[in-house]
Amino acid sequence: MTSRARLNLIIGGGGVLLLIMIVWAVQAWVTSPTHAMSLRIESARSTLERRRADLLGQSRLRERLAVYVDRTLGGSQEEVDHALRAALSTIGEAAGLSDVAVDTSATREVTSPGRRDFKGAAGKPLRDEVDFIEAPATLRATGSWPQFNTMLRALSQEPWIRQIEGLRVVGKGKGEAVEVTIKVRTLFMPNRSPDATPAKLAVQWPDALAGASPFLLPPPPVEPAESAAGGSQPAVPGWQRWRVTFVGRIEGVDEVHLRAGRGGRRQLVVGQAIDGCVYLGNRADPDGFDEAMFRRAGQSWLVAPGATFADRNALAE
Amino acid sequence: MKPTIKGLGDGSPEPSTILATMSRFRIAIELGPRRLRGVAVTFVGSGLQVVAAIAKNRPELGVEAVGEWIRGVLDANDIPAGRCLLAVSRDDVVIKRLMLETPSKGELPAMVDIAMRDELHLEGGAAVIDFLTDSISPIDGSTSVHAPVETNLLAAALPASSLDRGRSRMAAAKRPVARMSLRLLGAAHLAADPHGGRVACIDVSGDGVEFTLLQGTDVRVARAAALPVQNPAEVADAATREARRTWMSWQAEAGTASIDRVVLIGDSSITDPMLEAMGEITAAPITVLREHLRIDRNGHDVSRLWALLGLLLADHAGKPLIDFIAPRKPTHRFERRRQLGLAAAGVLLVIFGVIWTWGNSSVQTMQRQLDAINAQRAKLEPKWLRYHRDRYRLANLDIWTSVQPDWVEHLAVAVDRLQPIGVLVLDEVSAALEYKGIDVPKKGGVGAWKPEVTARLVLEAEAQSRDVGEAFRQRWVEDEAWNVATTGADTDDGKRLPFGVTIRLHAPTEPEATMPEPEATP
Repeated sequence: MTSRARLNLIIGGGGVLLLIMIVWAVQAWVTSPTHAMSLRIESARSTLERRRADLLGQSRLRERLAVYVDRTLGGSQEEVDHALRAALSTIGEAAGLSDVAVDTSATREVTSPGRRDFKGAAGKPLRDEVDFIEAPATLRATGSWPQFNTMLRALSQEPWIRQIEGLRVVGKGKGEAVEVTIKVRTLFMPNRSPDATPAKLAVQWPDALAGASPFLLPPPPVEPAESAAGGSQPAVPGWQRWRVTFVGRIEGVDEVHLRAGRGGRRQLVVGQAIDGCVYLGNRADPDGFDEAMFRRAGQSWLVAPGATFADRNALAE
Repeated sequence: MKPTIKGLGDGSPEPSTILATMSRFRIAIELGPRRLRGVAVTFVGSGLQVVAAIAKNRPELGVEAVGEWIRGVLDANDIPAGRCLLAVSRDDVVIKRLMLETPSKGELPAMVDIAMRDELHLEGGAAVIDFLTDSISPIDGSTSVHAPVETNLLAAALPASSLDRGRSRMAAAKRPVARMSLRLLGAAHLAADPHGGRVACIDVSGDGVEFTLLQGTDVRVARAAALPVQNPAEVADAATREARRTWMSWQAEAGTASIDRVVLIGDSSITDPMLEAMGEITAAPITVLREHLRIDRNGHDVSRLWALLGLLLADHAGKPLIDFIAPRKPTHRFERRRQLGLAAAGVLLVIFGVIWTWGNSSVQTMQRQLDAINAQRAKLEPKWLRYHRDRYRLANLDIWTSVQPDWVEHLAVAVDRLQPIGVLVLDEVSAALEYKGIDVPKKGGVGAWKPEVTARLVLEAEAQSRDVGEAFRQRWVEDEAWNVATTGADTDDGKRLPFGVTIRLHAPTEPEATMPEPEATP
């Protein structure tokens, strides 16, 4: 190889090396840093836009939180404890349950499950912030199946936030009464009292619960007695043939006695049914005399002693 | 011999070469023992035009006053201020012709310096030494770049005191010395034969006479002699005597058998009487320098200034000159490569510097954009964090309120499955909900939060017969809303109906093992 060719080779090699170094330098000092910076800018801009977009929904978020606040019983433990006790007692007693007892337990602060997302000193106040406080309570009472139903329906209609974390219904004796225990847990947000009182909730009550007590066996059929001499009254067909012969209260339990021309006699306590008619209890008429209250096919009505079901007086819902 | 009077100009380089060079000096000054000479020119193409000229006798002055006097004279004669080329006479320097063998051109200055100091017994710093290379020839005929060569050169040494004195005087005259060279080189440049002819240049324009023997454009021998101060005829006689002596000396020392031409430079009152005698002595054509093709006298008398004009013209033409201000310095053997390397490194540095600056500037600009975005983001941060925290609270509330089973509906279903009336009766119903909180995956945000909840339902009943009890259980097995636990045994211990039935149910999403046991007593 001549010195000229060697020189050309060296110059060519040097040129290629220089070109490679220039390409490397442009890539290392210009392209890569600017690309990385572009990505950072894009990411920062995207984050900024996302946060701006998030904040557009801030008022709606506050409205939704306010709806929750309005469904609480207050803004402090004392307030909520009192309201919870009062609400449960009222529901139990209004349903006619007896031995109503309400207990409240210690409250529990609930922090955010995502609190770890609020990092550093700046995020500490948010990290330690309490989302809400749970307030548990227990209602115990005794009563008939319809009274239990009434209580449960009233509780379902209450607008305040709750979890029913325990429900226990035990039949007493032969099932004419039930012992009820309901464990309820509500919540409130500290220092945020409701601004409005929401309306009671509309509840579609299932027909199955409106029937006879499932804790009570139907009374055994009674052989029909000899019809009264001369049986002047014509027999009423179907369930309307039953006639109320006695309405009263025996040992604290409402009771009704029925009689039918060919169906025999029946004695019902509250919650028991006959021919699909559920005995709901007694109710005094304007003159102070008790009438028996029944429910059939969603309709409630009263029958006075001596009258048949055909003579019933419907009750307004 | 009849002298020939004609203009000389063929000693200059080609016009293209001249055009390619840049002129640097417009003033040339010589401070002789008897006269101050100065000339200012402007360069016109490859030639020059005289702007101002001066040749003035020097008065007896103190050392301190000389500078001021020079300044006054130059200013009075319109010689502009600025850097000047200072000419020194042959008398002031020692000139030696040397033949040196050297492996590298870069080492030549050091070798010349050593050779001159050895020959002249100079102490270090006592003199400034510079040289002009005449010819370089390889010793063994090799063409290799690194082969040793023989260099024929003309070296000159100027006492450092002369250099300092010239500098200080010209600095005082506001014409600082930028270059200091031999006046004989100026005369030689005008008299030289570019075709290689041998020329004897006799310059009587100065305070003395200077004889220079030229071979082509190279100075072979140079000597000087003082001249009397009397009238021109006596000066011419003295110059002729010195010329005869010099001629004889040349013939003896330099072996100069003949010369091609004699060039006389000086005032015609001196040169004219010399013509006949010089013809007899040298037997060569004689030329008196009165005009030059590349020099426009512009009406000025430059008969005593030809040497200065020759120096300016040589400098303008780019011809190498001895320069005592910036003498040639030794360079490394690989100096050229080192310089090329340094130049390449410099170019690389500039290229990479430009690239780095470009990148850095781009990044800085983008960083400013990023800072602006981050500033907006930081301003928004507290509001967004509050929003974010409220969003988490809402999600927690949403999940808390969503875990409630519809116990009423489940109870209704249970009651409905007791039909027909009389064959099954309930003893106890227990429902339990256990909400353990929310499972938060590491990724996914609030949308990925899931409640950890268990629900169970226990029914205790009595059946008229085992078949009825099994039919009751079968309905629950077929119910997709619940899973029937396998624990517990059917017994025939009913209080009101013969067979006791216990149904334990749990939500299908949870395994049986995680089911909480019902409370014995609420």
